[in-house]
Amino acid sequence: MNEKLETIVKQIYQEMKNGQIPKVELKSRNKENIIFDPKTSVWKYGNNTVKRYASKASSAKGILKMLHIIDFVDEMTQGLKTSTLREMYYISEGWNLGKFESQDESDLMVEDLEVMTNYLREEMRLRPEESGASVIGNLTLTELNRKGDKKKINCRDDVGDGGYTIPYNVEKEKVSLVSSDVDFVLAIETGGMFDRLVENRFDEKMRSLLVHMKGQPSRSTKRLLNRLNKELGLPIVVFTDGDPWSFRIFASVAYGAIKTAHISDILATPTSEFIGITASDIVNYDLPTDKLTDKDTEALHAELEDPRFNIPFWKGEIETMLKLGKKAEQQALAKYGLDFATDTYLPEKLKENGII
Amino acid sequence: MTEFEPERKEVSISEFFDKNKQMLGFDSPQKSLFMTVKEAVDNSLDACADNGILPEITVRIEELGKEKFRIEIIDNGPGIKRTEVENSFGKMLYGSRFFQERQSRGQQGLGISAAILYAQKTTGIPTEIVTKVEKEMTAFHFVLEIDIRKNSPHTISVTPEIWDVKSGTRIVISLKGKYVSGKQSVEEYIRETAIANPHSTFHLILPDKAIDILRSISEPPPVPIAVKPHPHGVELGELISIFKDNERETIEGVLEDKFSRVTKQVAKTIVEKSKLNGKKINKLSRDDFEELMKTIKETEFMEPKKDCLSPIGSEGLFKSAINSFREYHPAYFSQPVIKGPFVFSGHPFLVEAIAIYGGDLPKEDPIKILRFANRVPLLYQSGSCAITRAISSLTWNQYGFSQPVKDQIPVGPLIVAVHLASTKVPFTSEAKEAIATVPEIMDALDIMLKGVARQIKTMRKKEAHKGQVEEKFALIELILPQIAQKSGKILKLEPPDITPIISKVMGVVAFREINGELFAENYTEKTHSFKVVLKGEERFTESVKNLKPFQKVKLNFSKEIISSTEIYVDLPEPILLGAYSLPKVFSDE
Repeated sequence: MNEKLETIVKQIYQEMKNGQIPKVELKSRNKENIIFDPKTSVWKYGNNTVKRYASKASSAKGILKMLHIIDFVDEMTQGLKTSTLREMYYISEGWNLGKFESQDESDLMVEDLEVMTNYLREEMRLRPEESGASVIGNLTLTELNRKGDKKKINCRDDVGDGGYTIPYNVEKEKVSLVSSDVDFVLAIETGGMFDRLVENRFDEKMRSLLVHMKGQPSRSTKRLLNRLNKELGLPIVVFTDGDPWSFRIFASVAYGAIKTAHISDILATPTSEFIGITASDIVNYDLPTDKLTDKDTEALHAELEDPRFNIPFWKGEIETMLKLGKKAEQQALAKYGLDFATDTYLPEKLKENGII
Repeated sequence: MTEFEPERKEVSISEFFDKNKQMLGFDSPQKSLFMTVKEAVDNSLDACADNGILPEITVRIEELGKEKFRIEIIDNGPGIKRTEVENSFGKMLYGSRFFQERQSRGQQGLGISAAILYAQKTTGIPTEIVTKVEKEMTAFHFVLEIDIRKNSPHTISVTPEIWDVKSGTRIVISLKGKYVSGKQSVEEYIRETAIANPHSTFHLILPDKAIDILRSISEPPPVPIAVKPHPHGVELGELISIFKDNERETIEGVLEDKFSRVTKQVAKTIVEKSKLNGKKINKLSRDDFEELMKTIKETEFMEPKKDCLSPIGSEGLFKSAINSFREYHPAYFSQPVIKGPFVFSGHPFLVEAIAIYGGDLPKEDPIKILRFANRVPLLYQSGSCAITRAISSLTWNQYGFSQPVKDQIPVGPLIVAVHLASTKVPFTSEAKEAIATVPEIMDALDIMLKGVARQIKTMRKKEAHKGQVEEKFALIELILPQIAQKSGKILKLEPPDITPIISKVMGVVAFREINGELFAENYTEKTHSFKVVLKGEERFTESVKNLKPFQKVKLNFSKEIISSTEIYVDLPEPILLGAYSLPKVFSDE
């Protein structure tokens, strides 16, 4: 039995044995308890904690549900199985009062357990539904496959045009990074732009590793970026659409997100660079645009309040975008031809940012 | 004198009816059938009320053909004297109640005659009436029609008939009509009538079903007392009629004798002020009457007597609400609220209401409003009625109901039944379907409705509390035991004993049987002294003094007593959960 999970159960058991109302205690997971850690340059949970006592039916049910998850994880560990978060949610149908009302609820509770134990949900054999993003470029790694063999893969030569698919667990026991012959990693938001760069052989021409984030990147994608940076010393460059939501993608890659602030250390890559599309790009390259919607404007204003954007570069970009009232997609660069992004825009911007 | 003639002249009955069909409520086949039943039933109930009889009324509706129905209403009322049958049923505007103020259903004796006339015009079938008074040995069976030219009732035949009842009346009317169920139907009308008349029993035999509604109280309401009209309550026409009926008296004499609250002295002052000293009544001109009327309006009188009203009353409303709405399994019945008597324009009135909340009542629909005037349900013209207006104008949000549009009917699982009792109900029209928004009545309704709404608010709070209690029980009976089980299973240990936690969560003293002996354990934060009673064939008691928090005491009952009795504990506090019986855990009894 996993030691830290067992500790939680022991504590609950002991409290009941002592005639005390059982409780669970964990770091408060709201916005107010997110603080900047100067040592690691990422945003983490602060020291505020919440105690959930079983004196209320709702909290007591929460504790019961948590016990069910722990028991379930233990069973999976013994049977060497894994389960998706969704599968666990359906399995909870049979947990009587410990049944979850929604998958959001069960996902949140798994994160609660991560916060309490510092174990990753991947280590608890729970994985997300969505398939991982893809990687193309001259990177060699080994992956432990389901047969138990360590398979060596070169992400340029051993894969098709779809690239190497990032598995849900990219921890060392599963994936080890062997070597690379690239100068930087380019993390791309949209599939359209990723395919364009692949077709134009940007990875070879510019000695780069292309990572398709598929919108807001999954934990495993962020974790892989973190490891590429830490272990292989590769700079991470983020290339997204030019709108408030893409700014948030960058922030979560670079500084972490509220939901995962307990594991910012291993997910966030604070040295990541944002290359574009910036509000200034819209002006400088005279890109085709869309008007900001009310929600966009609201999001930009919220970002002005967000500590992660509290640096002059971002303040300037956000304010410029608000002033313009406009946003642009990555593919807007096609205004100047199919090769413009790879031959002109990216080299210019990479030079500007000192990457090459 | 001749100028008063049109007031007294009876217009051609047929002409009158045709002109006023709508006003009288006979404007569609559906409504005509409804009005006929209503008029007959109202008459029956009034007759019973006047004689202190507990009504038992049968309504039978049979379909004779397309849009043709036979309606039969049988009551156990006092019956009608042979000599008065014609006038009672056949003559418009006939009624013994003119110039008497009292609470009654029908006010002009117009309705049933209109129904008979309508039936005759649409089917050509005369109306049959069988009636028996207590004094007579037999009943008499009348076949009656209305002579439209002569404007008078005409008896086609009268035959004695054996009817084995003490007294009663049976009327059979065949008319063109349309039978519906649901809203504004005969069924709804009778059901609501039963609410306002909890002392009445109804048997309904309808084309599609039969329903029996039994009385929920067995005392007839007191017979309404007739009082003389209050001077502020009469209109010019009535004033003139009263004087013309008493031409031999002096003006002062009529004022003093025929009106309430007029003393000799006041009567004299009125006559002097109107400059009518010594004038004979038959010499009075219209101008004189107008002058007299004006003086009366300017004179102050004592308020009218109010004891002549007959409310449904607390018990009646409560019992009939339970009787009628049990099927919805309501969460609550409010205490009935009665306000008044008050006075408007010389007429005493009172308002009363009861609310029924929750259960299976629809949560998303506007609340249901039941309106009654002098124990008669009002089913039409809800929007223009004082009761509906008063309900809509309340700010329901503060009582926990949503009111999507201000001044509209709120939404929620609620029925409000409101009754206005008065010697004169100010209807908006002759069809008597809606009460006029008289300021005094609106004020009274407002106070009363607030009283009802407050109760519902309080009851809803209690409901929320009940939810909390149920949650606590789920906690201690289901969730905590499962936590104990699960944690034990994971650790491969015996599940922990959760009794102390239960007590802590409940805030009570726990009583535990260990090896046949009884222990009291205080898991509250206070010291308690209480009495433990074991009840079986006999009672055994033991007092516990100053049981401190977390202290445990063994009670001295023998094992035999403990095993053969139930435990009751007298604990003044803390009492979170009243009379719930929990195995081994008790709070109070």
